[in-house]
Amino acid sequence: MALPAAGRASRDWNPAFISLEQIGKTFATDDGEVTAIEAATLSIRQGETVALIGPSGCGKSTLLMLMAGLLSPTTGHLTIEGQAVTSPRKDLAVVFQRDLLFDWKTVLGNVLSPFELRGEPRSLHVQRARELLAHVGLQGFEDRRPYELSGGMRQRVALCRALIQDPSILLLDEPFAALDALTREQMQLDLQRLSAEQPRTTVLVTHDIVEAVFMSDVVVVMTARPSRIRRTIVIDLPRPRTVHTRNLPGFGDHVAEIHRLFTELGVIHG
Amino acid sequence: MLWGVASMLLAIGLWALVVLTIEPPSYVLPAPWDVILRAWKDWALILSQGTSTVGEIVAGLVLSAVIAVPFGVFIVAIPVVDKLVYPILIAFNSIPKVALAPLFVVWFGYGIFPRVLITVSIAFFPVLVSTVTGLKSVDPDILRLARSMRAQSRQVFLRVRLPNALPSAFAGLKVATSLAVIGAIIGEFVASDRGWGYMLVQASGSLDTPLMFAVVICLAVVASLLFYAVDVAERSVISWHASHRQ
Repeated sequence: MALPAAGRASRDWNPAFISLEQIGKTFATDDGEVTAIEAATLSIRQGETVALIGPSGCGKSTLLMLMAGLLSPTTGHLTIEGQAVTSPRKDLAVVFQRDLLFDWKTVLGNVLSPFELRGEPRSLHVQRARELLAHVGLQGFEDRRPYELSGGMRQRVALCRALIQDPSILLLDEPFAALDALTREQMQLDLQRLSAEQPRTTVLVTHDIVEAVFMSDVVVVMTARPSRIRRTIVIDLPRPRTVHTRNLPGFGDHVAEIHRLFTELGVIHG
Repeated sequence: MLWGVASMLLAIGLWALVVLTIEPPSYVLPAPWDVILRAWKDWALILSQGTSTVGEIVAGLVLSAVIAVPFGVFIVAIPVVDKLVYPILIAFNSIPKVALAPLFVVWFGYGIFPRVLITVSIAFFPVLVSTVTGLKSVDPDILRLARSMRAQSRQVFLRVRLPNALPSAFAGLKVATSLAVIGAIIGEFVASDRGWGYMLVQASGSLDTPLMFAVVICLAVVASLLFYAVDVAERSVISWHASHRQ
């Protein structure tokens, strides 16, 4: 059951897995209604990694929360595998910008917490949790508490906590934004490696152009107020992406293209 | 520990200095050695009366914690209770509890029960309020995360809200420790024929100021030890909390 290689070749026949049609979301605030998203239409295919990129306040995180089923759209239709999303799906995991680890649990306890919170036995997953932690370089830290770890290590634990649920959809809300540049690059590589083992549909919210190009098959460029999807760019770089990917001529072209788009949109100006 | 002893000696030294320079009458301000001699003379009495006071303090504190923590859980777990009962409790808390002491004497007489009741009525609220606050103040993003994991609400309560409330509950318990001492003494002022509170009233009547000093010092020691005990318990239960990280 080989999944089609994600990317341009498969886009033509692979049907939409996550489908957004004319999605709008408004929030009621004290100062009246605020429109977070206006008429977003997007389709994401199974096994793809899609980056949503845009300036702060462009509603990209809101879009992700809608896909997660943590918010419901004000207008439009949002379906995954043809089913309307009303609550978080079973095969979905979210990583937030803040690691949101439980201070009172050990690293291992944190990774296993999804099962505990569902009232399922953890024992079946201990081995897998240890493997995942070893995979991201946290072997020997299983019994530490979160406060003993650095920011990058904490976010790795949060990533393991998402991956242990073996989600077919992984939603990442600026998971590396709070990390320093070197740690961020390592995390991007780690995630590539972990995703290569098991293809899954990944949606990544970011405001980092290089990260978006490096991680994704498709980059969705969004604009702020009124928040709209401006352009969808297919990234046809070979997989697996490695440390050498950044040296490919195509990589720089894509980064430059998105950068130029943001300049045209006035997001970046001289 | 060494600093504690040093500051203690400093305080006693200053006290002695004041007595030696001003030379006040002993019934106004006794010298440290007067107090030690007075305590030495009646140590058996102080000790035996102390058991009743310490008993009330500990019983009041333990009862407060044992009632307030589950009650706080109950309040937060059931929204209707929160809306209906919590305002009543807040209103009750605003009553000066000292004012209730004579009422408890009318209802329950002079036994240990009204005294423990007064202690609980004073020590109970900080534990309750801080438990409720702790249970309610969970990071909304953590609750979102739990929802994304399709967590059961029972598990979220047990495994997220409850541990999240522990630091706050312990802070309340520490406040309650000193309040329990106050409660027990008030109880003995009003409704007792024994205990350190009763001794203080008696000694005051006969201008036995050295004895009053001795009793007050005993009270301070007991209160400090109790606070320390709660602190030790806190350290072992919430070693992960920012306040106890090494």
